[in-house]
Amino acid sequence: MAENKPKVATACMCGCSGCHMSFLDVDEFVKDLAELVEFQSSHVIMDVKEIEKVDIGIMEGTITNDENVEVAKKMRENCDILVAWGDCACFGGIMTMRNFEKVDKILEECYLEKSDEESVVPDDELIPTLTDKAKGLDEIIDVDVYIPGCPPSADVIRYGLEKLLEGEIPKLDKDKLRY
Amino acid sequence: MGEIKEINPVTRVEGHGKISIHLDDDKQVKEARFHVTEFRAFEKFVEGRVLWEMPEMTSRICGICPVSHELASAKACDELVAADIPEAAHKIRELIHMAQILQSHSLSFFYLSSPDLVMGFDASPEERNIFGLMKKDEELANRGIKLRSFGQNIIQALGGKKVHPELSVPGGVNQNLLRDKGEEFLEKTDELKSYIQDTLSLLRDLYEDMDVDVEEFASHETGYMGLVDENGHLEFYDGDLRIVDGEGTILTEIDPKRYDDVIGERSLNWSYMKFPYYKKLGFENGVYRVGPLARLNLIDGISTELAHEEWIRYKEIGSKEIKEGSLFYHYARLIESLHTVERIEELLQDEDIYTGKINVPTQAREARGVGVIEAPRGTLIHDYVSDAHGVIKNANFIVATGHNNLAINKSIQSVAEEYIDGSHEEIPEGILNRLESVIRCYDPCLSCSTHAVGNMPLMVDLVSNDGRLLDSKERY
Amino acid sequence: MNTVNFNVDGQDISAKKGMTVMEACEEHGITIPKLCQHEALENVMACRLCSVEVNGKQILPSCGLQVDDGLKIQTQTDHLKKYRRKILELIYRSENHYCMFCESDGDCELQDLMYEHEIDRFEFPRMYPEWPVDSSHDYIIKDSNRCIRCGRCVRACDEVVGNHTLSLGGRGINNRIIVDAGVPLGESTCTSCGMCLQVCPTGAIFSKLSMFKGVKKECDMTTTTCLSCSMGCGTNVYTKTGHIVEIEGADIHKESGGQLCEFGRFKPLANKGERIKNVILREDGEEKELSLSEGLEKASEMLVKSYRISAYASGDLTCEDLDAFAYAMRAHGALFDVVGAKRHRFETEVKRRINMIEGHFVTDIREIMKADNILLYDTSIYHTHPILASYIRRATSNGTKLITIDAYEDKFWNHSDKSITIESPKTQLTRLVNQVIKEGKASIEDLSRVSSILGGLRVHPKDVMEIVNLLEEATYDIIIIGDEIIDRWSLRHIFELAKLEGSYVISLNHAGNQYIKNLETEGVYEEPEVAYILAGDEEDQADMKELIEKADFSIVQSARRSELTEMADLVIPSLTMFEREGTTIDINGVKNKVERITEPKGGIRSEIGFFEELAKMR
Repeated sequence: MAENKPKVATACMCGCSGCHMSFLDVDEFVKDLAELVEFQSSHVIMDVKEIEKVDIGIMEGTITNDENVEVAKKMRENCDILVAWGDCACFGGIMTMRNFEKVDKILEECYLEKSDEESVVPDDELIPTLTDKAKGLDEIIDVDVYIPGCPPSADVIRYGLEKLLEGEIPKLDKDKLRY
Repeated sequence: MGEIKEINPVTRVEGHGKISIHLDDDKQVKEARFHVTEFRAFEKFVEGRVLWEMPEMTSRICGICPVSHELASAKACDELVAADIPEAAHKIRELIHMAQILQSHSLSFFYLSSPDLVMGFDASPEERNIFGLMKKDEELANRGIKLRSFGQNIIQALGGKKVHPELSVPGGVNQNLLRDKGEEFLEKTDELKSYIQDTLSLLRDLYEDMDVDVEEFASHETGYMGLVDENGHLEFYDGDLRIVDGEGTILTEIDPKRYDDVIGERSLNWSYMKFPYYKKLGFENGVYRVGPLARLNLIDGISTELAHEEWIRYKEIGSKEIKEGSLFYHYARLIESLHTVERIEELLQDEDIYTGKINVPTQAREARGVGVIEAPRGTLIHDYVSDAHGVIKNANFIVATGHNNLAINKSIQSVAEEYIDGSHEEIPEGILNRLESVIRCYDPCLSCSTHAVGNMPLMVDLVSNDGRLLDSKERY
Repeated sequence: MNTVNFNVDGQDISAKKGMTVMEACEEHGITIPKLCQHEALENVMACRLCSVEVNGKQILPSCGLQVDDGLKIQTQTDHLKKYRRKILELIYRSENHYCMFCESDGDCELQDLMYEHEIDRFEFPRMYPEWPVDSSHDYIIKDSNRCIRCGRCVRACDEVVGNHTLSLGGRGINNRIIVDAGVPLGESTCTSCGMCLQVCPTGAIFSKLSMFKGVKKECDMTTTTCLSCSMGCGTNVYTKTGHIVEIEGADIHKESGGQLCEFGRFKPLANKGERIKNVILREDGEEKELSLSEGLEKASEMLVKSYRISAYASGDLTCEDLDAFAYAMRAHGALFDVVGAKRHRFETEVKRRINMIEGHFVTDIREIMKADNILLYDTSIYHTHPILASYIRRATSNGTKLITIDAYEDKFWNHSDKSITIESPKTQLTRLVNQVIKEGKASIEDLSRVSSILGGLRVHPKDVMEIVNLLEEATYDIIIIGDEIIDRWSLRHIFELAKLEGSYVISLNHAGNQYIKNLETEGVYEEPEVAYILAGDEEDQADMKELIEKADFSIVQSARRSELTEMADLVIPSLTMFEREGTTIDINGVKNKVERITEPKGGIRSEIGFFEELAKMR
């Protein structure tokens, strides 16, 4: 049976991990889930050498840099159903508050004005480059399931997962939907 | 430079941290860097919003310790509006904070770290997680779930939600605890204390059986920083900011509002995370650590009985009273957890929590407000400037992981130097294990999210002096 | 026929002619989504969310559609739902809505509708327009980022408050709520009534004092009566774990439109003195804290051994509290008085002297809005009776002429047709008006002479004539006398004027509870041995201070520390407005219930019990 367990991978882009934390608030249900699905970290499927497809890919956070874009695209390629957890992934969330200002200006103010006088703005090529605007997931890739909330409650996250395991695409009704 | 990407796109790794090792022309280690790859811009976009929104907004900085951000922010706002918060509000804030430390420490120990300890570092990554732990030691996993859920339930009872609760407002809090909830929580504390004590003894046994040297494992000498109460005891919500050196000698102890007298911040071009340093020793030498290990290294005692006893015992382990090794983090966390349950028990028996006055009206003024708190992972600083109408004009945050940034880099450097001897152009075997344990030693919160349901991803790049990517290794 | 029959969603319903489809539907329990429509305001059909399908063809907003025989209305077709979803999405995407840190999260009508329409994703990109937050007002924050331009606040400020502070400015996507001619709210003509935030469907206008104190939907709500002035406004008080979160007007369907004033909505939540928890005794230069029963002992000891006792109560108490206090004080032989009673006594005396019948007095203050002319003496009613002031402004918006007479700045300057500034006694002006009316317009020529004889007075003949002309022209005029006028002669001349002209009078009183008119009061000893002041919530009343200064020993019973309690020899805890329960009588003579909102947090649970004890201790 073990081979037939649906495979689930989760990833966090630019965000606070609150959705993952809310997921852990399902408490004892984590144990049931461990029986029902096989959890894989997202980076496993990111490894080009052994791309492993998963059934359900879950993403949290906002797209804010080129690495996020890349990860989102990879996740989309390698999963059947893509789930967006939280306001950030669904709509862009609080991180889009930076969209009122140009990226260069924000970086300058954050790193030059708010650090000591020898400080510089991070621009090394080993760190990702920020996108012009912070974006919700569906501005980059197709999303199949939207579970908004900041964060979505454990009950709603559980509902979404249970529906998926029953083979349905969950859609939150007015009692479950919260931003 | 585009060459690097051609060989191996750096964008391949999803984690928020990565390491690069840079060689000089003699292929000796020139520098090792721990890159933080995410930038969130909170300090910029809160500007223009009003101070009353700050606790709610800044709680979104972290979903693992939102309460800490909310409280540090509320404390800074209290100062902005010159509010003297009611005693009951102080206690209610402390209560939710204790619950937060407990839930975060339980998450960290039971969900993230204990799988390594119980199953051993050599177990496969697929097993070294909470799901694996459930199979191997269900009782331990259950304890973890119960401890975390206890903390989360208190947070929910006070703030309406478990993650990003809404409790603190400038001038106090917005509700008392309902009495039946308090009674329900009080019934559980004895059991929870025994869970932690049992786990502490399990941990002592594990340490004895472990083939690595607990003291030597990922050890590094730094200064330590944290809050202490008026007796020099462990303190999470209030108190003075104490900095000690690697031997435990007090270097400074000040009102935390004056943090910037002693701490400077520098940003470098290769990381989105700034590097705070102890000003007196300068950027190069002013390395310090914060967090459970730091706190237990710098305090003179713990105000609650059981935790104090455990702390005395802890100090006696090994050859030095000051603990440097990363494995002591787990121990320190459990002692702190024990303290939080004891303190929660005390607070739940305080009438103020249920009926006391909860806030005072606030009036904005032109001011600067600094809120400092001990988050689960260490000292957290929120620093705001507002105008006469309460509009935020400037904001700065130093988060726990930030304080550790310089130390992380120093440690990585020393590991790299130890492993790379100038003979190869590739990343030597074994170095990944060491690097991971070093990073773990500092418990950066950016590892949590990905580690929660798997293992910490690690990517290491080896870069030549002319910027060529020589080798790249990943471990999951 | 006054009723029409039509069909909604397949259900036959009948409704009164003249109703809108939306009203008729709501009466039958059929809810139609809406954002710009508000029951206290005119319908403007701005948001189009309430659109329904009419006779299978048109889509029309139901708030602007009158019921008619044979109409076939569909309110929930798939097409309508899609249409509404699109409207909601466009509203949401064109502004900067961040629910996670919005003060109105959970209490937002836009959010509720989006949940109802199950919007979990967006088709259109966000616009990120840049809007600053206006936090310049003491109580109100205006955040254009969350403004959906429904115009409710603008209409509320016009139609209900009559103040016209808010309006819509800018065109297209720059269309926005502006304050006066584009000034910050804190520097505007705003009266701080807070009606705008009460009707705001989103988090675009909200109270600083209530921010993040609780989600109203999850709070306990009690309807009670405000005791601050005699308007007797109904309030809905929201509490969370026994603490007040927000106060809203309850009388949405009444003439006041549910508005409250600064004193009813904001002041009770703003900064105030520290609560008095114990009895304080100041003796021989020392301050001692006593228990309540020790305080009772001490008070009765002082009352028993003294002969000249003055008892003085705030007018903002319940009928029951006033009765209990009066009973206890009389039991100790005190002379008893209440704030506002003096004015009432003068009034009664003057009425008797000039044989003024009750028929001259307006029995329902809503009549203000029917008057042709209003003659207002003392514009401080702007602060003392703000809701009444709003009626005057509304009347002027509808063409009523307003003449104001004040010693200082005319607080109705932007509403009055004629401002007369004249220092006390205003009686001179009124006397001249009376003279002209009595002696005919022929005496106009004498006016300049009279004026010069009177010398120092600043009565201008033109002013006198304007008042005369106005009153003579009009068919229905109302004279309003503010509560700060307390000299007998002014009252006499104003009453005489009303009698002469057949005008109606509204005579305002400083007491919040008009029950003081039913109480027997007699004025107090000016230099008593003991002064016992029941201040309740009231702080720093000048006449209370004066009494304390002249008393050998003073007792102040007060909920909070104030200058008054600092002056007293014996301080006894009291209750706040929200801890009292009982009844109060409003300006129209209607008895309203006062509910206990919060548990008493000072050092006393019941004043009535306390006074019963005190009455026995003789």
